[in-house]
Amino acid sequence: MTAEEKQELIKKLLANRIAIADFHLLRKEINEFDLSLIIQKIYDLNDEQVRKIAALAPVMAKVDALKNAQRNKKFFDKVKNGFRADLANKIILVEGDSWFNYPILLSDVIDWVSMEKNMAVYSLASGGDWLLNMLSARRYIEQLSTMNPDVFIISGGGNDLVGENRIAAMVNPLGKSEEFMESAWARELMRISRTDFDPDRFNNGLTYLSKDFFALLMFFQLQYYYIFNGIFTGGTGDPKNGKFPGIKVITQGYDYPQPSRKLGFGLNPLKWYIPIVRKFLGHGSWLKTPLDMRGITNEEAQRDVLYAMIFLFNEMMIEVGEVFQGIAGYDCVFHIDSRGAVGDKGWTDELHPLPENFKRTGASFIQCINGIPSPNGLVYRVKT
Amino acid sequence: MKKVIFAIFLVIVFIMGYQGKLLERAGFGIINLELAKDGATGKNILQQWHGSPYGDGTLLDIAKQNVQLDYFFIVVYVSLLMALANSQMQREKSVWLNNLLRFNLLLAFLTGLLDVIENIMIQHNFHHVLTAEAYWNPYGVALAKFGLAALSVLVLLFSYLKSFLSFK
Repeated sequence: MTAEEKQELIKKLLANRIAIADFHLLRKEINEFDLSLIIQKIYDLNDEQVRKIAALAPVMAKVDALKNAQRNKKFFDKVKNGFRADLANKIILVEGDSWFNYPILLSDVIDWVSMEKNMAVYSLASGGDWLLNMLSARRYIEQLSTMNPDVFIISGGGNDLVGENRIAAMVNPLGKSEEFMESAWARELMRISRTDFDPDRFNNGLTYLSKDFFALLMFFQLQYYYIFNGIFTGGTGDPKNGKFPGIKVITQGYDYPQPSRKLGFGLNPLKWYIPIVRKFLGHGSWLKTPLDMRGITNEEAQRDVLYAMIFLFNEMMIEVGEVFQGIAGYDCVFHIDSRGAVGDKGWTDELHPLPENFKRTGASFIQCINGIPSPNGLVYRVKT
Repeated sequence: MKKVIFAIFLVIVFIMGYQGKLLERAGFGIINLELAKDGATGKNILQQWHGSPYGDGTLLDIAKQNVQLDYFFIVVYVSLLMALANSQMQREKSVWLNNLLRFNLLLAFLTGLLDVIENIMIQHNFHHVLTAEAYWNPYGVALAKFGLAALSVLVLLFSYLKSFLSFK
């Protein structure tokens, strides 16, 4: 593919007018420079600005690092005691966001996974981290090479979508958007989807999604494809060049979040932390306020927007797994599907479930890591 | 980090224990003052310390130093309780116990807060040792503080015991 042809396809992707075959073609040819260019266009910012807003706040980074240091000490304590000599034991590398590293107050997904005796977890996860950051920082690459893990778990995209009010740019407040119908790729995702869903909520949500959302969704897939292609084929597209034979990758796609600014006071003293988290840690500012700002003020419409976004995000991730099953020749990319598992009242704040619900997602990860087959193939549905 | 905090905790316990022994020369330790149910007992304890010479001052001066050091102790033991609870939260698989350990973070904070209030009351009493009617009785605050601290330690111990038994 010539540079001009590639630019033409990127232009079509950004306009949400790219054909499926062209998107697949572009996926194979994409490099870091192209990804950087795409995100600048989607966010209407230059490269430096994008990286600046994607970077973690220094305080946040330190608190996250503290939790990772505790986890990684446990990792080395296990490894030093002959952990790897037993093949039933699993070395796990984790890269991700606040679902994987929520400091101090909540027990997140990885906290629950780390409690398993046969799992040694090395974590690079940081709450608030963007997928873009994970990809450009490339910390996971170094760790993959040195520790050759049995499992690589990655969670990213949530902050790219909701950080810095970005979600406001992903919606069309008139509720008359037909961008889904313009996206042959997204329609194909829905055609092959095997997941039950509420068509009324989904279709209502779709009417608010702008072309930038679909461009971002394709951008997410390009990023994941780029990461996984590096892992399974050394970036060549040929599995013979993969450096980590037999490695299992597990992704996740969040649950339908609840736009809200309510502080969540209640009578249960064990949930004392909810009003504190909601008051001081960004609740309302990720979803509710940006949607209000764009004029989508109806609560049902707000929830439906998020329903459609998260539904499509998960389907996009599931497709990546299926693509790499074909490329690597074995079941290599699994997806933990939390959609609908948390429920309306299972949230600490707009984005983060209560610890017990993180535990249920963690249980699906544990099942997948231990190789217990899922009735849904590469997808592990979190129990509701 | 936990080890460092624990080491500081032990050093302060040792110093405060020594101060406590000195105060007991007058028949009462600082705990006796904190848990004196009625004002008369509390005032009596203060006057005993005030009337007991120690070095170039009295035992009341030791009690004052003890309360000053207690502010630092509060920071240390609250941090320690929180660090232990947080660390145990990452090991505790049972949801209800995990939630209790999370509740421990609040308990530790409230314990420290009550301890600060209690210290302020006691320091007020030190300043008014000769004015009986100015006495502020810290009994209720101290009782609540010890209750919360005991609950907090109990949750931790229970979780440790459970971990130990499941490990075996």
